[in-house]
Amino acid sequence: MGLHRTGILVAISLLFFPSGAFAHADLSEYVQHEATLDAHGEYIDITLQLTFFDELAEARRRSLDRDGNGDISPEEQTALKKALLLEAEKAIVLQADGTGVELVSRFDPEIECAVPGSGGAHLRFVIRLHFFAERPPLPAGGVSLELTDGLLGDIPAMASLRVTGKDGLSISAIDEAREHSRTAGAPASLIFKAHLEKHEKAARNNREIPGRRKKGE
Amino acid sequence: MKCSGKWCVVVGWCLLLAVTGRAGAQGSTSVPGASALSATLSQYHGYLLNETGRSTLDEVNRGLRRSERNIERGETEAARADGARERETKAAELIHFLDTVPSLTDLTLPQPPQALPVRQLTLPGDSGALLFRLNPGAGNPKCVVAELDFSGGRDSADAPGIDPARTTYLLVSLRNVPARTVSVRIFLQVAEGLRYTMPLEIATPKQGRLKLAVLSDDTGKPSPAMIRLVWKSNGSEYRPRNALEFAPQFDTQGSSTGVRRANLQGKLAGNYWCVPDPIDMTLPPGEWEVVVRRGTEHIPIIDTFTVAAGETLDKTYRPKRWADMRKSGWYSGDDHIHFQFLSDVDARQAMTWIQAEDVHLGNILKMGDMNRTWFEQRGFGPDFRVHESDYILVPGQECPRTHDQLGHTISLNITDMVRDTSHYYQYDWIFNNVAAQGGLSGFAHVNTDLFHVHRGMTLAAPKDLIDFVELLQFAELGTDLYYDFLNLGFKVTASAGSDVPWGGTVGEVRVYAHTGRGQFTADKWFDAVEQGHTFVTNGPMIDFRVDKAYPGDELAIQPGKKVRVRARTWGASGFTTPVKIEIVKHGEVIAHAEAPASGAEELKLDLDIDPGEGCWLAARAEGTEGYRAHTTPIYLIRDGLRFWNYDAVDALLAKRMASLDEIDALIAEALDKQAKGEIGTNKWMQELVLQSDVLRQRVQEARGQYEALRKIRDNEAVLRASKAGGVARR
Repeated sequence: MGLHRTGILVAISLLFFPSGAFAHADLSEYVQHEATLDAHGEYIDITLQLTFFDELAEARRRSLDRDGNGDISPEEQTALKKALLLEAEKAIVLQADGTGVELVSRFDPEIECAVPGSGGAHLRFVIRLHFFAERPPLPAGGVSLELTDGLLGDIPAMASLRVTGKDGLSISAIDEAREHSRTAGAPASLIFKAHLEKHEKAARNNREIPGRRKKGE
Repeated sequence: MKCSGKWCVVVGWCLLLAVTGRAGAQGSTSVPGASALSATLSQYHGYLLNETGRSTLDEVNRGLRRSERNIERGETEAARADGARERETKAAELIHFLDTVPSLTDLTLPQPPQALPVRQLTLPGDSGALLFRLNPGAGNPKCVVAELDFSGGRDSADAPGIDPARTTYLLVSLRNVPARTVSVRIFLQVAEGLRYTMPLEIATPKQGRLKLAVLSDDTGKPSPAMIRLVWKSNGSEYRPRNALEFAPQFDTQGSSTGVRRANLQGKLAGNYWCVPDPIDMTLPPGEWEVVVRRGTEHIPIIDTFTVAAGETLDKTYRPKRWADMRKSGWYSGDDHIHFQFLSDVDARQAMTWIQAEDVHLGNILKMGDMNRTWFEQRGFGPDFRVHESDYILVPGQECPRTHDQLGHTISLNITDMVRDTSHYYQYDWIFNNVAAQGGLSGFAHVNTDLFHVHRGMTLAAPKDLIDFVELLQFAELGTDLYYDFLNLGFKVTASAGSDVPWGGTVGEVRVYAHTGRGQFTADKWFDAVEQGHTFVTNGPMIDFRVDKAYPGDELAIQPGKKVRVRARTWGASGFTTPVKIEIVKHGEVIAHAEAPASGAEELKLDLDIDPGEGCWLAARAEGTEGYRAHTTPIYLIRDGLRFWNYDAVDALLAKRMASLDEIDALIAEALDKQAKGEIGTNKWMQELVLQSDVLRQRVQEARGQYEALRKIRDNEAVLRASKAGGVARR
């Protein structure tokens, strides 16, 4: 096994399976998943921002900072980015009206490790993943988009979706049917839903009202 | 162990991949590094290009990325071959494109490698890029990116993989460059121990000065506001120099910073700073975009302007109100703001923020869990409220919070914190103590059923202890759980809270309470919430009446007599324009109106309905891009009957019993772990064991209460049959 691959596997394991991550005791051991769908021209751009709050962030930073100098080296970042893309390829899926739409990495993942200017040693660890997809054909009434985010599926999550439409495209977040947060002990993908259509609002009149999600309590 | 030559090559290649981090995505190509360079240039340094150039590069970058994906993941050989061809085409397009970039600088590398002469270059501001063509005409091209971020204390960067035999396009990407002139060294790495040193003297231009004031539409005087300032040269967001930093008040929790990533949609999505006073700061010259927001009732302003080097630009903005809910007695609140509140400085910070977002009542919550508390308060009760004009801060608590057990609770308008970990799983004990203080209690995160909040609600609802639940949070309206409890005939008030610092910004979701006319006071607001006179929104406003009843009211209905249902929604033109309004009965839409093709400033419904044997009715609205509003129901009650969804009672009770089963299972698990000696110092489990008897008792009580509902349902069968003059449906 090549060193590069070894590095990637180590990075994957550090990112996704750090020791003790699942015995969460408070909100700082949740990861915030913020998805953005930006529809424009012939594309849908997708950004997924993962924010690790202080305890998780500190655990991640410590595990990645193998030389203990308080910084994540470019090499460590590179391995992590590669690992993220590999994992994301499996874990992030976009569908339009139930049909898979190919996602392509648009930019390299961004990794931000920030300590605020004041207020103690609080740490935020932020990862941003950038993808794009060819916009699917838009029939009258538009299409339903479903973004499945299975990243860090075992770690409790808080989630939100932002949408932006340009170039004559209208996109709306749908939340009545969205499985959008999860608690511990229930590994699952987050599902973000939106409706995309051309700006002609007449199409909206033909649109079905989204059904409410059935909860299996 | 000896290394075979082949193995050494593999290891060496892997090392190179690990170091460059880019090549792994490149595979073999005639233009190595093409996609890395195109991505970096496209993402961060579009200012080097004109609009057409940016668009061209964007397409090239997408094509490169797509082709590489197809090469790596193509399912057939043909698909991979197509990918390879596309990559070559796009790489050639990139090289052709780079040759046309006006700022491209040619540089011939001397042989053997040596230090290069100092080059003096100018950036447009504190970030930018330099694009070099090394050894033009030397051979097949390749691309290299060298990144240098000065915020990390570095002043040099490596440009790996320079091949003197090839034309190399080198993009030096610089960020957080100190003002004036900086000396930088770029090491052009040719091979192990072999490099060129490229010294650069980088100058940043003289800055311009921006004086920006935001005026209140009510008073015409300067007002706090939420501001987003973007340098269009590279899309960087700049912090207004006088923006508030909230990290000290955020107690190291959540997104503990003054940069607030608002949970807003469309043009408003993005990061904002809370700016208390007019801005007076220097900025790099160039084109800028500013977004000025003052909360839901004001039309946001999005403007672009140009800052010229050495010149002062004055800008004054006055976001206009598109709604003034105060005039009809509705005042906005946020039920969920975490903020340390120990001093006047803390109070000033929080007050400025709610004024910037135009939230009239901010509930500042101390937070606790089994082990400790955060966001300390200097006190609770009326003496510790902070008033300024018609903006009020009121301390409260989010505690108990059990993540794996019963969910998170919120208590508002308390006079003392109610916290005793020996009662931590007995939410009724907490809620009753809060009620004794005159406070209100409810559940957080109900919109997403986070932290198993359905369990806590299942215990509290039959005791009539739930004053409110959070229905809207993190831009998501979630009604499943809410409707389940309403459909069992429990009156529950709709509320909303941002949950900052986990949420984006205060008031990004808000609860409006109808306090009526006259002076706005906190007491009136809490009274209105207690009465259920509320709606929640993150954009559109909503007005809902059944006959003369407001949300939260009970309306006695008579057999055969219809009621008049009126609902109206309206929004900020171009931002939260209404798309749809619905009347919901027992969770099902019974009437709706949608905007016409031409759009609508407002949508209305006005209809007469037969309320049957009683029900709850609510209005909900949808704005463009997914903004939402939802009212607390109006309860239509026929004498002797619950307003519940009679036909669904069995299924609804089954859900509640299942929730109680979950709690029993939790207790059993804790006791089992105790028996096995596995609990150790875990206080959550220790207390669950200690409180197991009393919690089991609560579960049993709840089972009895739900069984009693089943009996009520059976009794109602007779009543409904007689009222309907026939056999009741079951």
